[in-house]
Amino acid sequence: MNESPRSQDPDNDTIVTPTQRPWTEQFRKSEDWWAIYLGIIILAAAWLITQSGLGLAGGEDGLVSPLKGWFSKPGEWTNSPLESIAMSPGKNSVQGIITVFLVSLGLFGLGAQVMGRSFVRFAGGYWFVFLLATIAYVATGQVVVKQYNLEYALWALGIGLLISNTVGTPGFVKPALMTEFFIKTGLVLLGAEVLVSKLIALGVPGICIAWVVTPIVLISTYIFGQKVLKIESKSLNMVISADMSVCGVSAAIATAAACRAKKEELSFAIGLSLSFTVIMMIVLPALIKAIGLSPIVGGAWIGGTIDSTGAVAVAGTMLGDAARDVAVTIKMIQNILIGVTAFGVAVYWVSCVEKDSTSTRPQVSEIWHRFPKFVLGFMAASLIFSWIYGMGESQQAVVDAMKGDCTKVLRGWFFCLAFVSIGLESNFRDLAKFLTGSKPLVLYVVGQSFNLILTLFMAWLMFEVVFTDAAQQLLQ
Amino acid sequence: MLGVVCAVLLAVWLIWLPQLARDPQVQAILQEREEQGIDAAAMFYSDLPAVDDAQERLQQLKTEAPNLFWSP
Repeated sequence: MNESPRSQDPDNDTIVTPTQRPWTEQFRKSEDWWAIYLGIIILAAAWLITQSGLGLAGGEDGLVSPLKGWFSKPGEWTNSPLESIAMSPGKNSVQGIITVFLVSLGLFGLGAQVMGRSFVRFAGGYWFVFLLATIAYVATGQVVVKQYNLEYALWALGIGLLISNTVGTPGFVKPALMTEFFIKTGLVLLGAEVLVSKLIALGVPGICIAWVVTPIVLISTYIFGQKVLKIESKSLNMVISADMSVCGVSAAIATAAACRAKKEELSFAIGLSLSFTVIMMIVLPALIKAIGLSPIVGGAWIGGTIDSTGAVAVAGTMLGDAARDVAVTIKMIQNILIGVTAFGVAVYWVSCVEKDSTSTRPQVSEIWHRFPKFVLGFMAASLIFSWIYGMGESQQAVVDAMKGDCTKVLRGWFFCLAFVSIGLESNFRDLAKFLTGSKPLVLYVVGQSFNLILTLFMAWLMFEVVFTDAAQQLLQ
Repeated sequence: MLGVVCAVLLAVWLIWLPQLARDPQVQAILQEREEQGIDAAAMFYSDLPAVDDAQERLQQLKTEAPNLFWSP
């Protein structure tokens, strides 16, 4: 009952690398299982503490959880980066950032130790990676930078790349560069934010625009990349297709991990997506006004096509409140699609793409052993917290407080650490090779063009033909 | 090389961007976005306060007309 053998090729720099171990050792030493264990520990502890009601009291912004202020990240700033970190306890506090550092060091260090690494060597490098992640957050927090949807992933990658391609990544840091571990644990935490009930927030129009169009665009773009462009790397093809059709960086992360993409492929896909997002965020609302589309159709179009959630909100606002509400709701429904996408991609990859040398379809048992287990943790977190959320208003308040004050903050940090690690392990030459051929760019442009056409058609059909009353009500 | 790049980045982040942020037009846009719960750098819907406001408005509509988004 072994997973497929680890690749010995040092250039095979994958997000997920299968290893060959007995099943008992897998549960103890597999990174996928450790991502699930850490996810369970964090989610269970956060939920229990919040549920316990200790300190849970009414406040101006609703219920205040006992975890509030304990986990922080650097916030916004205008004139000086020092504004991004507050000295007093609360939002963006030094105390909160130190807590995140200590908790993450303890958890990841424990996992590293049990998986066969040295805790001391891990800790010796981890502080540096965390420091760079903090700098990335501070860079993102400058208010002008923030307004252009230049997310922390970009700066984290950039800072890592800057160091690795100039002075070189210091030797003491390397034991702490556990990119896959950070990403998979972050994804398990993200699962708790994928609440299935949000799927029906906009009823049939929302489902049709987000859940009918998106898979069609994803699959069509992937097939186009394979059959027409003949992109050599299937994983690069899949990651670009997913981040363009689903919801940007978060979809890219989940898909890259599910299909064992190379770190450089994830970096490139994210860079491509964010570049076009900035352009679309400005151009699409102007185009909608120029052609006289209704704000509701325009908002739905924006929500279904602009990759990034934040950019969707900015662009939707340019068309008015109603457009913004529809846009962010459509994007939220697309966000929910991440779990299904990651699961579907993982199943497709292990059953169809990673065939053995005889080119026969693998047995079910082989599919199980190759399957990236952290995806199960991601799905389980989503299903469990969707179920809890559905229990009523009191549990909704607990889950919202738990996410807002703890797990969402940690999730962001873990992804930021991952991107810093990718940057520190990458070099410009590896990224540049994606730019020399134009196929990835053509894939994105063609796929996004198809996405724009199909989403516009569906938005028009839903709000101008079928649900005209709903559109009128939304406008009032 | 690292020193030069860091110097340039520090100049951008500590001098140019804060200058840009103090522009009254930019300030007005930032203020408006903050009031509307728009976090332009949000990665996921749970990072975006505007989603809660949108959900509240939709819920209000659905309370008045439960089949609004389910039957034409």
